Amino acid sequence: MSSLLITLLLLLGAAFQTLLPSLAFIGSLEWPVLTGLLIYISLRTDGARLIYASLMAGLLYDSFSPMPLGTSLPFFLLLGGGLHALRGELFADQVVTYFMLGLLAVLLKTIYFAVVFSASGLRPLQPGLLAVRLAGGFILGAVTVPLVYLAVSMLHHAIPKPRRRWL
Amino acid sequence: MVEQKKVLRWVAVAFALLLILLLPDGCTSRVKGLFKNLVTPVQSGILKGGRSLKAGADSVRGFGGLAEENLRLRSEVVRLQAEARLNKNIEEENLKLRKLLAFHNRQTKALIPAEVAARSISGWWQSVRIAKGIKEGVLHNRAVISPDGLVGRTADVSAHTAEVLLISDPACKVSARVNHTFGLVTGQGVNLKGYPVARMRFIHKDIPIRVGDEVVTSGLGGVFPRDVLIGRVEAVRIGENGLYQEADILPQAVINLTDVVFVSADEEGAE
Repeated sequence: MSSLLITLLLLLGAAFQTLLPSLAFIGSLEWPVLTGLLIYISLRTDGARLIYASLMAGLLYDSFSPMPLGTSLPFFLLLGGGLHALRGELFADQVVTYFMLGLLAVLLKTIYFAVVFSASGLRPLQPGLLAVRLAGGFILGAVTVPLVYLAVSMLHHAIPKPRRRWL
Repeated sequence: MVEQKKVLRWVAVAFALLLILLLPDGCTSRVKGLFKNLVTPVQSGILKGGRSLKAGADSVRGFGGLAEENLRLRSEVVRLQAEARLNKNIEEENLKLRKLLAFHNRQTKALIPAEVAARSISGWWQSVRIAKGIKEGVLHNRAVISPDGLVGRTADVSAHTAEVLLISDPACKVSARVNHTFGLVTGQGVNLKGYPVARMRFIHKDIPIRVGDEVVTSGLGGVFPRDVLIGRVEAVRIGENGLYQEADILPQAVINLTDVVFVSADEEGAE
């Protein structure tokens, strides 16, 4: 995947994520479009581009909310780095892989933000709401990430690849 | 060699991360503004397309329930006429009192209309983004209101966008008044029914507060103008320490958040 494609995908993903309505019964969590995109990119790109994608996703995520810049960067870097390290063990072209990864990634993200926000005093820790969000994270991750995979892989395959010239 | 390269790469990442986390406030706002300005045109395009589709669907759907709609509107007209008569009496009485007491006409604050462009990307925050920023006269920490009352205050402001922290966000605190007594309204997020909630604390415990009482801004602190409706009391109880009352409030303007809000253009808001 080229850096330009990664940038465009992440910008579009951020725009969509801010426009999708939140669902109150799952604790008003956001749809994890950026997380889904980063999972897709992590399994298909080299180390340098992965770091770029993780940084970009983190900066975009923090820019579109009132949280301090850099708050979500460690999560996105760990998620991208971890998946990149495991990519030899995973089936990168199976929907079920994205179902499982989405479920786990959103669960971890919810725990990460709950810990960071409560430790820094930005949000009060409400155990009831956290439980609802963890359950909601399972559903959202399991639904959104496979959908993001299907949409992006269709787009990715539709883009013509430059042909190699053999001498 | 490859291992060394890998280590170097992660050291560079750690350094970049540290640098981002330690950026001063001014730089942070500029970086955030850059990303916001990049994505805002895309968001506006998607939003406009969505609204046009919704308007088309609504107009098609409207043909089916025209008779019911007509009946509902007629009863609404009767109710509004009664309300208008009542308002006229109140207005006349108000004018008379103002003249008698030689009150200064309160200066109407200039307001900047702004379109709501998007909501927060993270479900942990209660905020929306408006499509006006510093270049259009929107400044940091200014009151944001709508015809239904107080919406919140501006937080991060970039060249052409501004983040509005809603009054239902725990970080938004407003000095308020209910039944001639003061208190502090703090956001409580969204309940599981999807309604934004706020709580008014430190209300004098001997002042009777009833469900349905109006809570308005007190004007203390300088950020929010006086007498703007925050919401109505939903429930009242004595606080945990028994010294004060607290009341749950449904913030009307956040519940009925429309596409357009108004930002106070006051130059003297607290920074």
